Amino acid sequence: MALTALLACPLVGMLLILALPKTAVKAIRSVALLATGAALLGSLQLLAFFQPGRTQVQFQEKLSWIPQLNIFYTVGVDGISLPMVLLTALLSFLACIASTSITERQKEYYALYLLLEVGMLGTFLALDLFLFYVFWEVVLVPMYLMIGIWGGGRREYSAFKFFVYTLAGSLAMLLAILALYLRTRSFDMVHLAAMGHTLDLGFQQLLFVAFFLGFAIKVPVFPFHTWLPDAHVDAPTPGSVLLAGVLLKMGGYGFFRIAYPIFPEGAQWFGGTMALLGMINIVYGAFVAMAQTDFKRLVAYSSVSHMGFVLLGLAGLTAEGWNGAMFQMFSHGVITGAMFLLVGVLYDRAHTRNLEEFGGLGVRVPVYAAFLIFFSLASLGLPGLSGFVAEFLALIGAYGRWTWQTTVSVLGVVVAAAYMLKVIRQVLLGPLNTRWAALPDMTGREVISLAPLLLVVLALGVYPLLLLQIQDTALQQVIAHVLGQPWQR
Amino acid sequence: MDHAAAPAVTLTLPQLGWIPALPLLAFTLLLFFGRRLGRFSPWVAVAALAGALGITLSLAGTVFHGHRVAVSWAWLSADAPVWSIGLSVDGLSWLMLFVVTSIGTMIALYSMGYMHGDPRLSRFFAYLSLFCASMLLLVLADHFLLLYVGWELVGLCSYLLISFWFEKPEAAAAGRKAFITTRIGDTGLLLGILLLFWTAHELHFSQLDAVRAHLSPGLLTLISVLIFLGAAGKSAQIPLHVWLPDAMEGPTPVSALIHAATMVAAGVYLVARTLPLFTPESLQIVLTIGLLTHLFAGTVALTQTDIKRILAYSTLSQLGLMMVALGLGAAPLAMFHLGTHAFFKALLFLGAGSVIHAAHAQELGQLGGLRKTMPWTAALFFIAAVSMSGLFPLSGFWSKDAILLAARHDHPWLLWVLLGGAAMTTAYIFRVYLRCFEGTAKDHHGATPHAHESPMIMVLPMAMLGLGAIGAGLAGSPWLHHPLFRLLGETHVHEGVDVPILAWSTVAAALGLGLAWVVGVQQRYLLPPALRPLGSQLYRLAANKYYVDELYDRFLIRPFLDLARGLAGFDQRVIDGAVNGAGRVGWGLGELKAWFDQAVVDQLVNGLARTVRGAGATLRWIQTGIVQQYLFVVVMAVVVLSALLRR
Repeated sequence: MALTALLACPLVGMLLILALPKTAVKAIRSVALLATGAALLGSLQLLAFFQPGRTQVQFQEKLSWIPQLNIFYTVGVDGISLPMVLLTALLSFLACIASTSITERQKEYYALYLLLEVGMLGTFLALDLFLFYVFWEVVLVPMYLMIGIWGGGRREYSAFKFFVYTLAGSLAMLLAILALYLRTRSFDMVHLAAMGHTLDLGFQQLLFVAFFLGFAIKVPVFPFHTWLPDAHVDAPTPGSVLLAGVLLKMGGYGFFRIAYPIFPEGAQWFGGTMALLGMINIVYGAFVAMAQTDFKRLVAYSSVSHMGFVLLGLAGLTAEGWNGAMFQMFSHGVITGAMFLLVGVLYDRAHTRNLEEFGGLGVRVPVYAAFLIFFSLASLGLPGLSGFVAEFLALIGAYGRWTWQTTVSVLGVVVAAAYMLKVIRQVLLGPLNTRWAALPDMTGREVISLAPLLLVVLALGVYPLLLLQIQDTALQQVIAHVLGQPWQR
Repeated sequence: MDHAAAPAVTLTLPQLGWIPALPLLAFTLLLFFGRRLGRFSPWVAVAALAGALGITLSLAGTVFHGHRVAVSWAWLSADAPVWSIGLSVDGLSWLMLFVVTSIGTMIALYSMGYMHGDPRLSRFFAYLSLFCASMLLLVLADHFLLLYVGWELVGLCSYLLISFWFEKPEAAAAGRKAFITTRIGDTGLLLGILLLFWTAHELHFSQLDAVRAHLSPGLLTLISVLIFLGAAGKSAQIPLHVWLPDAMEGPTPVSALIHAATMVAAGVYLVARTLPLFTPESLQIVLTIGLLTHLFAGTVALTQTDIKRILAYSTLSQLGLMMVALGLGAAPLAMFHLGTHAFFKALLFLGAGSVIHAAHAQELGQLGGLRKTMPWTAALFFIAAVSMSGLFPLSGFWSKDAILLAARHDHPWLLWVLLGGAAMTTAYIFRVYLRCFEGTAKDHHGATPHAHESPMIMVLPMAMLGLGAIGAGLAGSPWLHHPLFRLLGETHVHEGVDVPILAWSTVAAALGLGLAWVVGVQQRYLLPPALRPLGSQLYRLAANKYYVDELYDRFLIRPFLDLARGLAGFDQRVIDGAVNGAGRVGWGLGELKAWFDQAVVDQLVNGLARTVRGAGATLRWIQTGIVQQYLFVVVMAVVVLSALLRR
């Protein structure tokens, strides 16, 4: 029942908030903080009781839901989903702390926020394809409303674009799920993966591509990425944090959990394209980020670049590559989540995100400067911080199979240094722009929302086995399955 | 190539971790409590470095006996041995450890005086400690990946310290340039690591000899050239040298420690460490690049007027010389020169810092006659200059002559080129010495100088380095039977002083000295009038650093930015445009359907509704609710029906 309890935390919180009067803002906020905090504690408890060496799914729960269609409420975690659950719970809690910038219609906001967390957690916990799809779509609505109501700029446009674009992807996925069901009469992911090799190649290829569309739009993979900068720029800060930190990972997670295990031959057939797209994401995203002047847009494009490592690592189909891809999902979630929080901190004070309008803030706001430098360095893949481990493993894992694609991707590492140092240069260094002579430094609450992320990035960078040993067994098992080899430790 | 037999014993020593951990601890302390520590913060850094030096010295006995000290742990995988990383000390890394910790301690002491009164004093020492921790990690690493970690971290510290006075736009730009330029080289190293992993499945330095036996020469050449690309970035070799002169924007102690003695030498160390992977072909490349850098930087150093920049180009030139030694396959010679160079070049920088500290000027034109007011600095600068010129019997002589010897042995022509380089070295360094410390005193406006000798806290460390500049070379001299070469595992060494080489290098130095006096100080033309236009053209070329920065700006940086902007435009217009276009088509279809609904479907529906309504209205008059009428209708109907049915 641990997992259902975990899902219940935000759900109960949401119901409580709906029962509270609109004006009781303090109470609403407290409930939201408690609910997300409880979910975080719940996920940490999972981590405490999780047995990394075991190959089976743990904490599994299975209840019949729609027996006529063989649909079950099946949830469980393994080394692939546990990191994602932890990431979701952590970012949801911290972004909730950072939600004080929301000053209107708080009741609706926090209710939707908690619904969003239910959807995200559910997506990572579900082991039944139908259930997965339901949670997947549950995520869409609150995020749409969050951008559309509490966003800025062209929020209606961006929200609509986000919604329709991802819905289009989901549609391809839904059709694939139905086709798969009609062929196998099952929605059980574990069962489907076990019979993956028995599906004929053409069917696998077709369905892999359909799932790919659904996941690729979420990741997002070039050329399906343009909803991302718009959505990011116009979303409120907590929305951006969850969008980049968690929602993008849903796409990547889908590859690990569904597309690769269920369609192993289809996945191998598509490997070259994956590697190529990964390379394009890395290099193209980095170049486009370099040319941005809006801080948030720059971080958004850096996400495109960094998520490319997930694709590249996946395509490598080696223990190193997959560990790197998975590590990158977690690490990028934390780093980019923090980057968006930092953009938010600055925007709340300056009401602009135009990098060219800053300058010399290092003197004025030393604490902010320290955080920004730290996370920028993490983002550009500095060794000793988590991003490096992820990128290195993804690159080395893909190099054997996709040599030239990996070689070109290394270029992205240089460009990443160029655009992140550009940010530091334009915001913090140089003479102080007198316009910001009275800019206040970070508040205690802002520090609290960022400090845990800093510790995670540092800890994972120094001792990556913390995360690697959770995911390694499960990943190696899936790789062995995809390659059709008997799995051995 | 002579590689000594594998070290006799490998001792496991967890205390090894304290060598980088002490400065790291100092960094953490200074970062969080720096403001509270105030002016005591420098002592934290000094104590940590002195502690690391102490541990290093305590290992000396073991290492000089040919043993190896190591400790390792799992890092990127719980069970794959290739991903277990560790620290280890052999002769090569011990030498580096000694250079880094001893010179680091001296420079940290000196910085107390130099940085006195800076508002970010504790931050400076925090960065300095982090740098030392990273550098020591780099040196101790026995695994490519761990070395790469240290490698990037020293690059970061270099960035942070170059831009330490970040309010100055030039300092901020220089830091970024350094980081990105070296990172371009680092991609080479990274690719080399990837290739090595996939071909040999081994990344431990202790296994490189075995790797060499397994791989084909072609692969080895490729891997070693990629590694050398990383080394060239860090050691600022052509064509990646452009960042080092700009790096002089950082505080002078930083230039001394990072950009002269230690970090920039890491490239030399890397090549020496991975020498088993180098093939004759790749060594040829190392030799060529090293030689080009040696000569190129020497000519530029002759023409510059900023004393720190002259020293920066001098560093480039000397690093080039070390690369030449490596290219000859003589890693111990390169390391020897690395060691002596660290002492005399650090001293030169500290001397320059002392001058800048006292006179608040660093242009040759604004300096002069400082020997009278700064006798200690002048004497020590002189010692360092003599040492670098390679004059008998100071440190620089032994290390430079060892390289000259090796050059004569392999390529006789190379000896003459290197002697030319040596003459240039003497010429540019004495040009600096003579114009700073001799002649008439002047300040910015040519008025009476107000310079004064630097405080004890700065002079004392300089004096210590002076001792090194004089005597460190003895460790590699035949007088003491080359303990240094035995430490580095080199058994075939030249016994006794080679007199012809001694004579020739003295002639070269004397020539350089004369040149410095006649052209550098007296500013007389030596060329016959016919050649003067050509000479001044060449001079302009060198003075403008051969326009390399301008070329890079024109052909690399601007196209890069244009490409970025172009791709961003493409993303906005083409890709997002396509999405919006698809959206608009969808929208249009919706509109069309809406019109169709209104014009056709609704009309039909409305028509139907009207028909129904009309029928309803017609029928309504029947529905009166009066029972008699209904009965009447029923009766009438019955009558009509029965009449019809009767028939």
